[in-house]
Amino acid sequence: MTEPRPHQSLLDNQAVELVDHVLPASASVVLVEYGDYEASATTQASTAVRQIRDEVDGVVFVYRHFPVDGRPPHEMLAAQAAEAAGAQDWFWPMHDALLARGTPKSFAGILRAARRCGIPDYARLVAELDAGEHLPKIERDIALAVEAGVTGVPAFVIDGHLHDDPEGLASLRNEVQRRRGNYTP
Amino acid sequence: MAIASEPIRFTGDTKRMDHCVRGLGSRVVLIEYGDFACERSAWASSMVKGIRRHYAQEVAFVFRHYPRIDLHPFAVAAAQACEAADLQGGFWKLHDALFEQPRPLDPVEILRSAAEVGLNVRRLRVDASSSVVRERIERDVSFGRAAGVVATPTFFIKGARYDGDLAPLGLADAVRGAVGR
Repeated sequence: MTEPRPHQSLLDNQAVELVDHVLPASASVVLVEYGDYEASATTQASTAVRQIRDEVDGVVFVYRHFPVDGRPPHEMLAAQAAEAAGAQDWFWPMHDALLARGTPKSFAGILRAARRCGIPDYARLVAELDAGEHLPKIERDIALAVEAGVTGVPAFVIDGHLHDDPEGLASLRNEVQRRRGNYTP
Repeated sequence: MAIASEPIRFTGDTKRMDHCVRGLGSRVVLIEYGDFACERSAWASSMVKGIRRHYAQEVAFVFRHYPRIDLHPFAVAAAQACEAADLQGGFWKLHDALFEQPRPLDPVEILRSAAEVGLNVRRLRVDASSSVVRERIERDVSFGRAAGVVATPTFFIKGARYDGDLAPLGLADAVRGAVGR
């Protein structure tokens, strides 16, 4: 019998960790999206992704950051803002606000989005952005993405399997349904 | 492998120790490999609680993580929370609270439980992804594998696996047999 590597079977990309942002369900399938709020492909895919997570039963949805351009002056501000919101249990409203059409990813635009989605403690968010407090979490996400073989955004991992997306998002939905044993072609 | 079914003795390095509720004159060690996200583990935990109370003098109870991520997506998150709670001295508080929660557990519920038992949630979040926490969980899992654990909960009494059913009194009977009263 070959012993499974502990890393592979325990805390790999598939394992949802406490720091992850999760939309839970009484789960049968774990769908992880690696995205970048500042990349138009992520924004464009967001409607289809939302449909999958809302319409397919039993999908646990996890969002992780894979900011394609993290170099200054960008500094992954949108991702940091989402994390800072998450520290106030406000990740998903901020996430949706960042993905909304026409939200500029400038510093000012991000702060406006935070206010618009009703962030409980605005001053705390600004202070945490200023301090770069959430950069380690984002770096952890990036490391997991690289480990999963992600090269661009948005990328999807379904139950630990990287979904290469040759036919666009329709195939993602089929794959999610197939993996939960409910495939309707 | 004895270490997989017996507790780690105190070595001076607290990071290497088991989570153990130790009876003063404990002659019997009960080890559980459990999963906070598992319905059966939760159900068994009330039984274990009874045993802990009734045999407070005679039985030392050790809990080791065996998160079944193939069945429960949030099993690792819960184990991480509990290990991070340990760094604040709150392992057993969160252990008991998580088992009392209705399943399925998810990260939000886990953090809510942590707040309810008075843990510092901000610190808990940070500690949960630390390497200390990861190593402890991985160690427990590797012990479990070595001991032949495949399902949760799996119990060892005095180093021997308990293969009886989990009907309310089965485990308690086995412990009574080992204690001899």
